[in-house]
Amino acid sequence: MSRTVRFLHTADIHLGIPVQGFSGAAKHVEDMLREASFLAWERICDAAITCDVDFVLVAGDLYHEEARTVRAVRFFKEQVERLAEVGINVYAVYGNHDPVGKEQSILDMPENFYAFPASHGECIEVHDSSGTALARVLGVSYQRRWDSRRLHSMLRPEDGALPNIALLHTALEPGNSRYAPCSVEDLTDQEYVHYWALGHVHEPRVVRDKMPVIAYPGTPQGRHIREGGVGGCFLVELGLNKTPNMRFIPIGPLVWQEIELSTAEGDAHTLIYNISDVERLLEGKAEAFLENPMINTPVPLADYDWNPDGYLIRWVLTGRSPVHEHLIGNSDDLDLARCLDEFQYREPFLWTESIRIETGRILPGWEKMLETWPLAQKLESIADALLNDDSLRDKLQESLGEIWDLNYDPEHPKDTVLPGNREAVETIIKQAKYLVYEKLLEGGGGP
Amino acid sequence: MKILRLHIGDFGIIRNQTLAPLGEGLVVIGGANRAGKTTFMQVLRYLGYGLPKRDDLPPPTHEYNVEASIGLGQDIWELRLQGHADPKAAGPEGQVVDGSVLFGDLDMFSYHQLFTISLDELRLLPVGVKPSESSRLQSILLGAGLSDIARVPEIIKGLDGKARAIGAGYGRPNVAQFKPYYNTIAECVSQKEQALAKQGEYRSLQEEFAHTKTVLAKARRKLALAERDKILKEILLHNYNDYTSWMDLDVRLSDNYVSNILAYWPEGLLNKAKLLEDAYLAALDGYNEEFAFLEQATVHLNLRQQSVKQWQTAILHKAQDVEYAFRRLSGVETSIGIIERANLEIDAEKRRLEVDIDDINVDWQGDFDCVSEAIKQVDQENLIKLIKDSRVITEARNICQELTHMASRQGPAGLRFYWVMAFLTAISGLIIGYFQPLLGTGVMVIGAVGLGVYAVYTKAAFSGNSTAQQGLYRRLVECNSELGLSLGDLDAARSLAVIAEKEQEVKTQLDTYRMFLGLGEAAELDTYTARYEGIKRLYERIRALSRQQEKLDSDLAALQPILTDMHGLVFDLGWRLPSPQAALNYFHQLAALIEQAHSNLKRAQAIDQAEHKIGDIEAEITALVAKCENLCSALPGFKESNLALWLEKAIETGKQHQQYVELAKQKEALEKRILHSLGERGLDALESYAKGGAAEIQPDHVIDRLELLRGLYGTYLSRDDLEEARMKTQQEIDALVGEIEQLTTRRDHLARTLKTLDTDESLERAQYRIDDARRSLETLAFEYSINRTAILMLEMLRTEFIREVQDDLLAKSSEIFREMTGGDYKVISPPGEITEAGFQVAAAGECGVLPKMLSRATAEQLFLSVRLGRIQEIEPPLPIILDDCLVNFDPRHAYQAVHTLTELARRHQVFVLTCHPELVAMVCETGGEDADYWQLEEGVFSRSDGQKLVDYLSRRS
Repeated sequence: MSRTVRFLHTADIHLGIPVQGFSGAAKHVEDMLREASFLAWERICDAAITCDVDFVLVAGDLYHEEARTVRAVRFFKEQVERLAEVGINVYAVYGNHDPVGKEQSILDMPENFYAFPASHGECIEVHDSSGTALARVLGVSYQRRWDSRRLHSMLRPEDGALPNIALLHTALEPGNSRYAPCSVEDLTDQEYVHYWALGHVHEPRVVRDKMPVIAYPGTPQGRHIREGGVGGCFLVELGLNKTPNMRFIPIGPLVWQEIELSTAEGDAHTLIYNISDVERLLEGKAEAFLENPMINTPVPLADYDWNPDGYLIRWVLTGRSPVHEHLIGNSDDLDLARCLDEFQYREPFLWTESIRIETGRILPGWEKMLETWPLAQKLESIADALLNDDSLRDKLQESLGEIWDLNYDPEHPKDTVLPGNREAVETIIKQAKYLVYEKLLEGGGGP
Repeated sequence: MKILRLHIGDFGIIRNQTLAPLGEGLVVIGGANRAGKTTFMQVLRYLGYGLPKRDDLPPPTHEYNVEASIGLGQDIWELRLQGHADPKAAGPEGQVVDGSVLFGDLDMFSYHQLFTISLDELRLLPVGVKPSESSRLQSILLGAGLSDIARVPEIIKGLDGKARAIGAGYGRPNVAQFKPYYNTIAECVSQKEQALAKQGEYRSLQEEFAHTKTVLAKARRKLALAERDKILKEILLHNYNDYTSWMDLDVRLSDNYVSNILAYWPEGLLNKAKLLEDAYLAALDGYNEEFAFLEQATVHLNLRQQSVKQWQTAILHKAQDVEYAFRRLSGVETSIGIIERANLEIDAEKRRLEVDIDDINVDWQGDFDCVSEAIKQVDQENLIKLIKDSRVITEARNICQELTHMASRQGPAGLRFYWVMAFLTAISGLIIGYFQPLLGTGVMVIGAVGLGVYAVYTKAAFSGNSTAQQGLYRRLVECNSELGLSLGDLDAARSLAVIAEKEQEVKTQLDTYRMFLGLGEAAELDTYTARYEGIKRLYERIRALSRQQEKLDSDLAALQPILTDMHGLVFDLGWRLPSPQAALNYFHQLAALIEQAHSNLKRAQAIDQAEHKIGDIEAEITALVAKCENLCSALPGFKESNLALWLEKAIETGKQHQQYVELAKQKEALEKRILHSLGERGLDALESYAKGGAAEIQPDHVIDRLELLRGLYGTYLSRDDLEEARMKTQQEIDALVGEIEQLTTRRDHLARTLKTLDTDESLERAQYRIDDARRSLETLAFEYSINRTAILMLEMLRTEFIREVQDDLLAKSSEIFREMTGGDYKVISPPGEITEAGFQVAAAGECGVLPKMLSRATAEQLFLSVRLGRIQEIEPPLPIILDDCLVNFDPRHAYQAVHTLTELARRHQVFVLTCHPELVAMVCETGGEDADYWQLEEGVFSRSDGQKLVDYLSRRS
């Protein structure tokens, strides 16, 4: 009977892509933005060494681009060599961002690194230093950017005598023909697999916590605000006939966070009247956030010392208040963000990615309007229809303009257009609704 | 809502009029002009809203006062209008509300425009309505929100302007304000793609980079070689003349004979040969000279068939002996002199001793043995004792005699004798001391002692008698003691006898001694010791002379072997002398021969040294010859067996060597000049050429630059040939420089590319720019899209509204209008752009026309239809007041209108104010039996019926 095998499960490192950087940040912040993905991989290797794991699994998207960058490959190699010094192997599959088909052999990898091929599924038996078989690692890589093959079906262990761990980069969507289509049932039905080490989804997620475990570790370092929260990897202890022990090791040096601030809060004394008030509001909130940053993780945290190097914050100013006119006039939100500059010199630092103005003029409350003003009701229904009625999609697309891509592929976004995801569309429709509302009321309209 | 009772207390011309009960349907009030119809309409118009302070209202007599009972459902409210105050309504349960509440909170303007209709209202812009209120009117007519909808185009225009400014018509990313960001992103995407593509080429680029470096290095090496060749050729050209001269010298010096001389000529051979030649000749001369001298010196010798050379050998063989003999010669001579002088001294001393012996005792006849015998026989100590004893005896006898004399007074005759004897002894000692100091001194001492004794005695004798006797006695005892006599208490006489016995004994012994001392019997005691001393001194002198003689004999014995050796030496060397035992006698001759032998030895040694010197020189020459073996082998005729001739040849060749050396120096000077002209650049080039392409040259490798130059010069036939070659090299250099520039550019480009690839900087920069541009783009895109979507929403809102107005609000109006017009017009619809109050109407199958295109009556029918249609949509149903608004209708259309009103009266309370009996008749005709008819005449109401009212109005008209 094999002993419990301990390994790190990581994915979607996207080595080489800087965290969305913005001009105006202090040098150390810029450096950190640039180096975050590298630092994440280095810290994963640190964790592997500290936790004395048997091996490390990378479930795809190790690199960000199909053509790996020299620096990324070199850095990855250096860290793998570090693991080689302590006898830790790295097993990886390539995903949609770094498919095998485009792999360029920029540098030769050390012997303790094994990348599964794309042509077929392979099974590697992992042994400990004494030669005892510990587990089997199965995997198959993407052939190209989109891989519609049912890759999971290629991963069939011969028996269940050893813990079988399958590496798969998939969206876990049966209808998604781009990213290794499969369903949870497909995976649970696969015989003898004890742990599905998945990659592709950037948010840590334990799809199934019983055998076979199905889990996404998420990206260790989110690249933008849509990849908020703490990035990390799973420390897994897996043994036959044992409940898997999974702990989340926070890794990401930077944590994205969106914080909504209402300018309409408070009474007449504390109402936000001018930019100075907003700045005070922002500073106070930033201070409070640094004192008590709330971090949620999908599984219990491992006993592992971690502190983020910094927080990347998007502030969303909402509410109807007198300051709206000032904020609209202050179109360059970076000017407003300047009051938060000093927070980038804190430890951990706090860098303001942007300040989104979603405030409004002081108008009768929309909810009340809905009750009394037919036009408001109509407007609400129109907004709702625009968001949900597919028959209006063309009209909506036309209104949004070609700058937004409603058929946006989050995995491979086009750079010249913006992701017309639901969140963006919702924001636009909501803002447009309030704009119409304001405009109608501007002319003395209303119920 | 219905007005069940109306009391007008004070309002214009109407005062204290009560209309009760009022019909809940059609209420027809007929009156002539200025009867108060319009005033009544005003009452109803402001009944629920209060009276504005305006001039155009009929003034009250005192204060406006109107009361009404309002039926609202099952309840009846009492409404009161007092002055300009807001009307208040009291409910059935006593509650009081604003009057407008009973009117469903419909605003006064709407109520006015919709429910109180006169010809003034049936216009596009009713009288009293300001242009600014037209949209309000429109919304009243077409429903709530119309005014807002009417502003939609204006809002859209504003929003569209903003949106267009940002993203033009279609929000394409490459237009308007998007464009710069789009361009940035597109550019960066392109850069990123290129950079990513390059990443894939990293390995091939690396290989190309390495290859380029290799090729570049080769080209640089070729260039270096070409530049080196160019330098070399320039150097060759520059030194062409010097090189030619150098070559001539080189040819000359390269002759085999010359080169052999230069090559093998030992350093300093000429000088050494000259020195050796001089030394050799001098040594030979010296030898010959010395030999001649030696030959001459040995002419008189008995060489016994020996040659001079053999004699030389012999003397050299005896050299040490000769030297030894010569060194001892002076010593021997001195010793001989000393011996001779000692002999003389011994003889003289003998003679003096004989004389002295004779002086002591002539009988001894100068016989030394007598002296020796005397010394032998006489014991000096005993002699002295005897003398002493004799004197003590004498003293004792004298004491005895004194004592006796004292007893008998015997005189001191003996004392005087004693004194004389002592005195004579001392004098004798003095005399003897002159000749024999020792003896003389002894005698003198005896004499002096005697004198002393005498002096003491006499002194004692003349001291007191008793004292003297006692003293004499004590002295006598002492004398006996000294004599070894134990006399005891013997008296003087017996003592004297004993003493005489003793004296005899002493005298016998003294006589013996006297005989041996050759003294006469009369000799005084004092002379005994003096004689003894004198003899003793002679004895000593005899013994010394004897020892001296013995020494002399010993010295002579010691000297004799030396002299014998010397004699033997000179004999062996060929000189002949008498017996060696007599050598002392002819010592001076012997010494002269030894000196001569010594002189000849020096000659012989000089000859020997000369021979050695010659030998040394010859050995040196031979060594020199051996040293010059290579030279001897290389030069024909240099192998001379005669050393002197060899030296002569060497000196001659040496002079030639000097000439060749001079030529070589000239050649060397040329070499130096040529090499100096190379300079650092030329030397480097030559060194490089010497390496011959070898990467490294061994450190100890000596480069023969001239040989290299010779080789280089040898490549070219002439100076012109050399010049042409230099030109070709220059062309080659130019071509290589160009090639290197290209390669360098390519290499640098590759290095930069690789560095960029290696650091991802270009990717990062591109990504940063994309991110930044996208962020800016996103802000703009949001603004654009929000505006655009707002436009879409507004359009949808307007469309929806129009559809609703048309479908819901204007449906009824269209129906009414259709009825009023007898079907001439089918549909009333809002204007295409709801920017102002107005409608459009359309006949069947026709396009819509605006009111201004209709006849007045049709237009009034339209406006009336719209109002009547709109009224029906408002809850609760409010009273409608029509003030002669059908007057312009033709009978047919009027009839249709009345019919409509009749229908409307089923739901609403409809007040029809008219002065036209035809209209009242139409009401009656169209079901006016349910209508309530009132006659109004100058502000006074009276109930009527239809026919009466028709009649009344007919009369009044």
